[in-house]
Amino acid sequence: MKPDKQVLKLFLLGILAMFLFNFPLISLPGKPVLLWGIPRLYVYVFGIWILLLIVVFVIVRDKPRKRKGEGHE
Amino acid sequence: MNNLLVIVCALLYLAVLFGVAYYAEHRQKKGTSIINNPYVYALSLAVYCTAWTYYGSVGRATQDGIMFLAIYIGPTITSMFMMPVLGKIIRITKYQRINSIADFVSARYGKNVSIAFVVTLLCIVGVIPYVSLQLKAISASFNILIQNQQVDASFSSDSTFFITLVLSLFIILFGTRSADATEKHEGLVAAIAFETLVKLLAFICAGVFVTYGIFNGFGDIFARAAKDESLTKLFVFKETDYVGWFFMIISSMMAFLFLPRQFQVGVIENVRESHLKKAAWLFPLYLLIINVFVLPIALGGELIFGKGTVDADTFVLSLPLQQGYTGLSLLIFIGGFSAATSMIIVETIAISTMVSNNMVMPVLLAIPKLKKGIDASFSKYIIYIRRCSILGVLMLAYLYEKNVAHYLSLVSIGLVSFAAVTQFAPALLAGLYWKGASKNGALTGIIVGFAIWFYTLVIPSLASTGIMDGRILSEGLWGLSWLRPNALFGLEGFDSISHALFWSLFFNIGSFTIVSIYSRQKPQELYQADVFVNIYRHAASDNPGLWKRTAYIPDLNTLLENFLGKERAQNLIMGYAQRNKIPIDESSMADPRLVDFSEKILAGVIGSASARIMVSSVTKEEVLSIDEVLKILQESQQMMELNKELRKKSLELTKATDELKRANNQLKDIDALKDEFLYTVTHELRTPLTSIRALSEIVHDNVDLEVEQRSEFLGRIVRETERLSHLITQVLYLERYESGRQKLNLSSFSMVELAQDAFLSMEPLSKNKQIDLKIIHPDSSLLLHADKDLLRQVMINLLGNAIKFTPEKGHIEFIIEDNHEEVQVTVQDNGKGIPKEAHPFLFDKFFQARNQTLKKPEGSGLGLAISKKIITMHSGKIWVESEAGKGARFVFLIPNFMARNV
Repeated sequence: MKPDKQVLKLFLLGILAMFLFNFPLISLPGKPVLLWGIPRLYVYVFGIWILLLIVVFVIVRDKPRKRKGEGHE
Repeated sequence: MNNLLVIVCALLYLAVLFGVAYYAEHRQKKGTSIINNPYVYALSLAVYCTAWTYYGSVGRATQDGIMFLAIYIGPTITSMFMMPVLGKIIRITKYQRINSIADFVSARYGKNVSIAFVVTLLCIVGVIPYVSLQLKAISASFNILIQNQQVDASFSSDSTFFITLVLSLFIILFGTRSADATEKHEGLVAAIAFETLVKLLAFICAGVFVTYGIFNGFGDIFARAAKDESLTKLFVFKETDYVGWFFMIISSMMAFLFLPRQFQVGVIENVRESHLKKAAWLFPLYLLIINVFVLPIALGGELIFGKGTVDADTFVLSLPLQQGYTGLSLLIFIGGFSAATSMIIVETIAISTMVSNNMVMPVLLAIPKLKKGIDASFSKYIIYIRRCSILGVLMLAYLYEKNVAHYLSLVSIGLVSFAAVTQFAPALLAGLYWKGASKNGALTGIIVGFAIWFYTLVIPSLASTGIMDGRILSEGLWGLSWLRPNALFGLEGFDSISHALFWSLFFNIGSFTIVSIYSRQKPQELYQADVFVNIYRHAASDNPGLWKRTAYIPDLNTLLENFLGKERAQNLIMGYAQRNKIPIDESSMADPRLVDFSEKILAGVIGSASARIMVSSVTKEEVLSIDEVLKILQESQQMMELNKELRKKSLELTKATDELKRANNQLKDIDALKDEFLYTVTHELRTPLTSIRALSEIVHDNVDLEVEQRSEFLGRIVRETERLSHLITQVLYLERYESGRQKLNLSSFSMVELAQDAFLSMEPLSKNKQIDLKIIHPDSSLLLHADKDLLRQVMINLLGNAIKFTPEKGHIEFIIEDNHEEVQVTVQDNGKGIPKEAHPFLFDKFFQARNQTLKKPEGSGLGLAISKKIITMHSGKIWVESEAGKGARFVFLIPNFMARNV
């Protein structure tokens, strides 16, 4: 199949997520201190999680239908 | 709490579940399916969250802090890769009518019976403890609820048994409606989606109660925990945790795809591939929400009960209970109950399908007597076999729970299951993209990985509970210390799951790839590999498979009837024949496509491997060598490339046509311009001609005209003739420039000298009108490489225009400037000026002529057009700056190539 741009974007996002959620990046929040009343590590993990979901949401919103109409088959 | 009340609630809940499932099936019959919906699909995926999530996450969080999140982050990452990988798996599954993960692996590797058997066995050994874990969760939560009552222990155990029975009834009722296992279980999926909502709601209730009911919000809990040093440890990673965290993410990524229940809801029950899109963010969002309150509950429990007094796995339930909220506790119990039952239901369906298709069926079909004895009632037996497998699986889980599970903690069994199904990942994922992955390689990889998994994870748990001799842990197998199950080959410092995953995957992937490279694939295997890797091509073409198999239609009919029942078989065959316009003649041989279709239908009922065996028993098929298979595959590949080539060609043709159209339009435009030009020129020629003719007629007719008047008329005739010849010369010039026949006669000369020359030749004309004409030029001679005569013509034209349009006693400045890379020549007058609107057309042919209808034209209207042509030929620019009443300023730039070269 032709490499769809949407699929490629999600794939790259997956790789980025793999880095963000693993050592060494995940060791950055470091010390057991609170940020906005929540442990810093949890702010980091949940923050990244929400951001990634927003990006996925934006990527999969029904865009590619237009491209299909342009020809190719 | 009254134990009867709890039991009644649980049963009521199950009754609601039955209701939901019935309703869904009712809707399906009416043709308004409720599971054909991306939201229901995403919710059904959340069967991933089991009682282990519901109760165990909190327990895990009290021990290792954030580690509990790893198994939710894994699927989140997978959901980003989900579209390509899961999309491909779904397409293959629909195309080949695959009905379980074991069937999928077996189909990929040549519809092999033994590999399906191994995968099924691994699923039973790896996953049934996980099912019994759910039963354990049910009975444990039950015990907590009724803890105040003095009941004998056997009661809860009996109630678990009772609940197991009700569950098997539910699964049998909604899971074995049809012998065809690829048919969607609408009622079941709807019930699962419903349960998913229930457990989320209940858990959030628990979280909100703890966070805002017992404490004053997140900040309060964390602030209090921050004062306790043993709790702040949970805020960060331990040094050694990073490895465990990484392996758990990897393992949960794979488990999300390949756990039998995930494969069931994610692939088999998927109605539309496009539902994946919404699920890609909706499902991880579900995971995120259900995990928000885990840490607050864990910390809250520790703060309230003190460390180690109450089992942390039960905090979700025991916190509201301790505060005296029994109603809420009951709701939370139902939430956990729904998490456990949903998992049990789907996992049982998935495993029992595997067991009946890949273990029981091949054995039955291998017995010649039985195989011959198969008749029309066999489809009923298939359903019975599946029902028995369901009961078998559940009883196995129940017995395991009763006898073994209480030795082990909630979490460890779950992770061990994850590690088990991760062993499928190499063979499955590589099988989707690498044609060379062979059956022998896959089988070796899975068996080796399975063996190491068993040795490093199951043996230690058996040894630590005393079922096996514990010395194997400290001294290793046969006293060889490098064979210690927890430190294989001396690898220490890893937690047991990471240790097992590392070694099992290492040897699994290694043996899988090496054996694949060095083993020869059989024709059938090669073909299936091609179908899996190039599924989008195969699904698009209606290729009747590789083998042109034929069979007598009655034989084929009987075969399908035996497994599907007479009516259904007839409907299917006639339907397919009609759709594809295949003639059905009872006495003749069946079309190869029909044979292929029958095998696919049969595969949905008894699995690909058995279906292949059954169909082979009634068909005659040519034996193909490996070279022939390769050739056929290559040909279809070439066909596809040819197709692509054709498409490219036709695209090029369309492009060429477009270009031709454009050129044609351009030509038409030019033609119209030419017509207009011709019209204007003849019109312009007629004006002087008319006056010449009129004047000469007067002179000719009036012989007695006075000499003075006659000479005046003759003078006017001469002037008009001059004008006429001037016009004709101009037109000829213009034509020469436009056709490109005029070549530049390049030479080097001094621009200043040329300008002075032009100035001198125009000076007398200006003096006639008493105009003050000034020339301003730099001191240097300003060498230029250009066509001297043409430039002179331009300057004279501009100066002539300026003199023409400047009133008497006006001023004209003629400025030559050196801009280093170009020479700028400006002619500025203080005449009547040119309105802005006219600027764009000023350099058009006959502009002036067309716009001076009232007055007699003062020029040919071609001078500026010619000047523009000349300047453009020198790659220069010409323009005008002017406003009405404020004089005009004509400027042109000629690039000075000499200056640039120096």
